[in-house]
Amino acid sequence: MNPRPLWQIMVLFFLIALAPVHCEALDTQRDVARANDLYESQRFQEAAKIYESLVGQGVQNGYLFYNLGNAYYRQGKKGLSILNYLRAQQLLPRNADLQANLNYATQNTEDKIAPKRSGILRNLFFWLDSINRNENLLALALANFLFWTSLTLWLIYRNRVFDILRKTALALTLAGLISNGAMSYLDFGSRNQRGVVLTKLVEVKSSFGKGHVTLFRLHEGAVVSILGEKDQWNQIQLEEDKKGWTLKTALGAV
Amino acid sequence: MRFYLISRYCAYILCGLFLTAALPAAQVYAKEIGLTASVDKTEISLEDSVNLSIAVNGVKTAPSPALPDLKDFDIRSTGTQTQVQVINSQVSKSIVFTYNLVPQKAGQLEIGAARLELDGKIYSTKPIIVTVKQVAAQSRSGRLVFAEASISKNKLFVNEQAIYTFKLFRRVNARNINLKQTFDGFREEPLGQDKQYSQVVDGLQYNVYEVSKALFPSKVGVLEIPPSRVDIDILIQDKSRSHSDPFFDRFFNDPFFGGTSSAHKTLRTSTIQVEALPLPEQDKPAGFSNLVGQFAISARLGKHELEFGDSTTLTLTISGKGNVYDIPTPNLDVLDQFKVYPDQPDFKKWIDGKNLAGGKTFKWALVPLRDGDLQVPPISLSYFDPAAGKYITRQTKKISLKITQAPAREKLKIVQAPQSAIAPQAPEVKILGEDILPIHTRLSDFSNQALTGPRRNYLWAAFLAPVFLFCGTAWWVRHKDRLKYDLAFTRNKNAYRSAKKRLQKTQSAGNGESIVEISKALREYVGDKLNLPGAAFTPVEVELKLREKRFPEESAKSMRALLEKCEEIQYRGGAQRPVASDKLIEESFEVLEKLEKKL
Repeated sequence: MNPRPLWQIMVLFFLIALAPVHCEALDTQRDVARANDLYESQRFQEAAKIYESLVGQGVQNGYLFYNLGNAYYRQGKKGLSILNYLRAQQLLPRNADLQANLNYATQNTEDKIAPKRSGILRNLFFWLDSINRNENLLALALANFLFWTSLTLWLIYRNRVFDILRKTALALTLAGLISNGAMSYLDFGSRNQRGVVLTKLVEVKSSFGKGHVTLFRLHEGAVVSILGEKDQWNQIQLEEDKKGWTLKTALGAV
Repeated sequence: MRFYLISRYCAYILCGLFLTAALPAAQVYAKEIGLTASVDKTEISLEDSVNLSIAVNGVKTAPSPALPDLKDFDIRSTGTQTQVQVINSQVSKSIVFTYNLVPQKAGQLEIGAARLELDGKIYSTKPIIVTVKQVAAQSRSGRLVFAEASISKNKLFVNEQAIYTFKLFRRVNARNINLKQTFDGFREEPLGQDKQYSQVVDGLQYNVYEVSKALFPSKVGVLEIPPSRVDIDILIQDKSRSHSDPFFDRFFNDPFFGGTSSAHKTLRTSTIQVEALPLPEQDKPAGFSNLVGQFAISARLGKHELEFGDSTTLTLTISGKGNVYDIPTPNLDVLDQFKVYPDQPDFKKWIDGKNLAGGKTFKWALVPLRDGDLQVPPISLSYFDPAAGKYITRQTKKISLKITQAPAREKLKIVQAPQSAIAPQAPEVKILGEDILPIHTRLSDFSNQALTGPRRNYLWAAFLAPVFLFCGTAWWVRHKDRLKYDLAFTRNKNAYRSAKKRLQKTQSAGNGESIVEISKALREYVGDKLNLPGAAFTPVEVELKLREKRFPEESAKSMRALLEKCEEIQYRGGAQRPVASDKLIEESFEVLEKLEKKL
């Protein structure tokens, strides 16, 4: 028997590896179609339940969070709506419809606190607001590919073009690494997490504990920065340097 | 407490002993101040250098000694070392200043006395004579490194182009290559990038570094191109560090891993004489501007028909081979017809075959002074063609222009629109209500964006695949280089294949020389495998060599036995040599395979 050519084995291996991803995508699309039909028939609660179950299964998709935000908004749950819009924004940073709905939902809250993101690092890495984590990682993978490929070509041909190319690609790879590091810090850094008030009204205390002085009140849909936690309490900060403690159950972390 | 006291007493005793030993030593410093000079070699060739060490003995610190006039040498590098010696409890200290001297000429060269003033007393060294021998012109054969220079023409006209080629040949790794060339009496122009390639000289492969220059003699007479001088540090492999395995030899003998020592060489090419002839006075055209070579001239006009008042551009290009930087600005005789606005000429040079070529482009904006039919007269260029040995004048064609009278221009009517007509009306759309935008319905957009499971694996593969590609290529390039440059490795790699081929040929031929062929194939296999010169080994030597190289004892013995068997058959038959049996050939194959497997 002739041995099977290597490329045939590689294609087979690739198809087998791809099969679970394809099946998973088909299941997700079927559930989303059902939820969308329910939404169109104004059965927003049932639609939101299906969207939530997909999120619970580990599906991370910007449009799914967007639709879930819409479903909650239709139910009058502005806090959950803004929370899901913000989650969607991390995956679809350039989507105009999402931005419009987020602005609209924010304008319809009591406090009208728009989710702003600022800081030296964010200003320095200004492009991070326009790309998502996957795109940032893909750019790094491309730069990495370009670097190693140009390095390989330079090793074979040793000419000026590939020398310049490999140095440029190295600079791009380093820039990609720094960009990914900055994004991870900004998204997951201990002082960079954002939260949305989910209850109708929440009292922000001077310290963790119900007996402390109430500093100010926030209403559903207000976006705050979560600075830390202690027991059942989160330390939060508003944009205008107002800090305080509130119950964890009143907040949803983005 | 008691232990502490004992320790303290011991410390006092040790300090006392040290001071007792140190005091006389300090006196020794004062007594033995001296200045000595020494060289590492007293007989060298003009290519080598000599290390001069000037030691100041008996002092802790000393200023640099004043060196004698070393006009016959170039001083390359300096360094300072401090040496401390303890002999019979006497400490002697010296500071050694080292200089690397590169001789400038052959003969008995004197390194004069170096002087040093210390505490008002002057110390000096004894002069040293160094014999510097001329390098034999024919001695390039087998050398590790040598340099050559040549010129394309030894007899040429002033301003005619000649190609000077310098080549550095080396068989060893080298660094700090510094080339010095002077071309007094010539104008020099580089001819492209320096080249690097391999060349076989007298059966040995050399890496060649080639520099070419276009030279143009600037005066008449016999001119001398002084020797090109190249300073180079060659890296020589330390024999003590050589490994039995050629792979490791090559890998670890890389300068990065050490194992090499450096030797400085100063190579000089021979002086080249060139006779520069004057340009002939006969038939020299008027306005000739020392342009020598082969040139062409062309002219082009932007527009041939234009209205009076408009301008057109005249472009003139002179290009060719020779002293292109001497291309003159041509005389444009059109001032009675045009107002002329010259542009900055554009000069470019390039390599045409092995010659320097170039061109100058001149541009003039011409504004006609009157209407009607005008003409740009021919523009001429004279140059001397050394190949034809005569002056040549080339000229452009006459260019005609037609200038028409411009039609009367329409008068500009300036009107202003009323403000009310310009100001845009703001749209007055009444917002009746607001709502969120609808949900997203394109199902294909709902794929999971999370990097988990297979997606994460693909990402890792995307990151790692080019790294593996690079590693594989690096291995391949290194392997290819070894096959190209490492003779031992190539012999080792091809040994089995060559031997097998030879045995198969012998098997199919089956003639009277077959035993000799088998024996030869086996010996050559051993020679190639172990990188030994030739193939004239006795069976005992073969066994010993194989054992030395840590081949299994059993395989070495088998090889010896086989070779002895071949010899026995070979010499047993007398005049009529017996044909090798298939069994013997099969046995040879087995022994070779066994040796290959054991590697």
